[in-house]
Amino acid sequence: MIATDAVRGLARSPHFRGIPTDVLHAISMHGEVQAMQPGEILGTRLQPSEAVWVIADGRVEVRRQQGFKGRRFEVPVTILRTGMIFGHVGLLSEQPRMATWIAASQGSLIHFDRKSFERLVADRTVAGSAFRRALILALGSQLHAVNLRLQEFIVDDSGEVEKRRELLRQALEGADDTGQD
Amino acid sequence: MDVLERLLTLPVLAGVSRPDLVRLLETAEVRTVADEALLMDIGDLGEDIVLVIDGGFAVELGSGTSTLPLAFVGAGEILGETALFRRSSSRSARVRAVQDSVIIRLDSTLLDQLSREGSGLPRFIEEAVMRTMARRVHDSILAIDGVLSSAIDPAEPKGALRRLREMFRR
Repeated sequence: MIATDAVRGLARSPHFRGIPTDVLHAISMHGEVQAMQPGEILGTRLQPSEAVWVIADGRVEVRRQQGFKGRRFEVPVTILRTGMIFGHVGLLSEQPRMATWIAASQGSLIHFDRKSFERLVADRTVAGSAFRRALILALGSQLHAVNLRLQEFIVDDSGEVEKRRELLRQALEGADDTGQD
Repeated sequence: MDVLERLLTLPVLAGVSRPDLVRLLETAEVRTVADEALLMDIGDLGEDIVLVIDGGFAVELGSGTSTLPLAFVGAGEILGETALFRRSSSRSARVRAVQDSVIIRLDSTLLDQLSREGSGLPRFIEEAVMRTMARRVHDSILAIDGVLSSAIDPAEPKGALRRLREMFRR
């Protein structure tokens, strides 16, 4: 039953679209279904990156530090939706988490701890390949979005400070956007 | 240059067998790129990736005098990774050779073919692509966050671009 929920959850992600059910099942065997409640802290900024999640159902709020001159606050910057992946950037780049994730609705996640994640990444079977490609698609969406928005920032010659800050904020938002464009 | 011997020395391919690398050279396009030649431009269509065998490339955004160097990519590193597996994808950065270079082009069709043949190479390439992209997303967040954490001088709004360049250089 739990494995079925995980397969259904992966199938909702655009990055796993088109992957046969038996392969999704093989991937899901490495993860665990995790229920979430609104307001629940799923990961905290600056903590070691030790897990990756796929949102099977629901929404997750991303919070980042903003402000300057010693007045930095954690503020919501974007909402991740069903099918999106988070936690992978820190784990793959061996860096601490750069954001805090909080459940924005009731729902469920597929949780891969470091060991399961690394095992899947190194897996020689079709499941490993499908998993790697899903992550490549997610990261490709993120980089593409960041670069497009940075390009807008670079060529902007409006001279308006607030507009330039907003373009940078949007670029940062793009870094969280693992939805396939 | 003996391309096969060079491939055998690249850390990214450590673990890939010699026969798998020989097969790669039989199927993939190896080419030289002259210093200063443009390899990819923003908006170009293409989903192939490039493994740099020798030489180096600058990755940048912007145009004219307003440019932002994102990275220097040298031997054993990967370029164009953002577009891999994304159909009808366009390039989101410009890539220019900064010295005479040798590259090998790979796309998803070739990776699939090698995978079907039992080659271990696609796994190593996919993993390298993933880790490269994660590092680039991480570096971008750090750089943008670094600029947003300080005030933009209204008298010199372009100073933010200079600061962004400094952050990416780090």
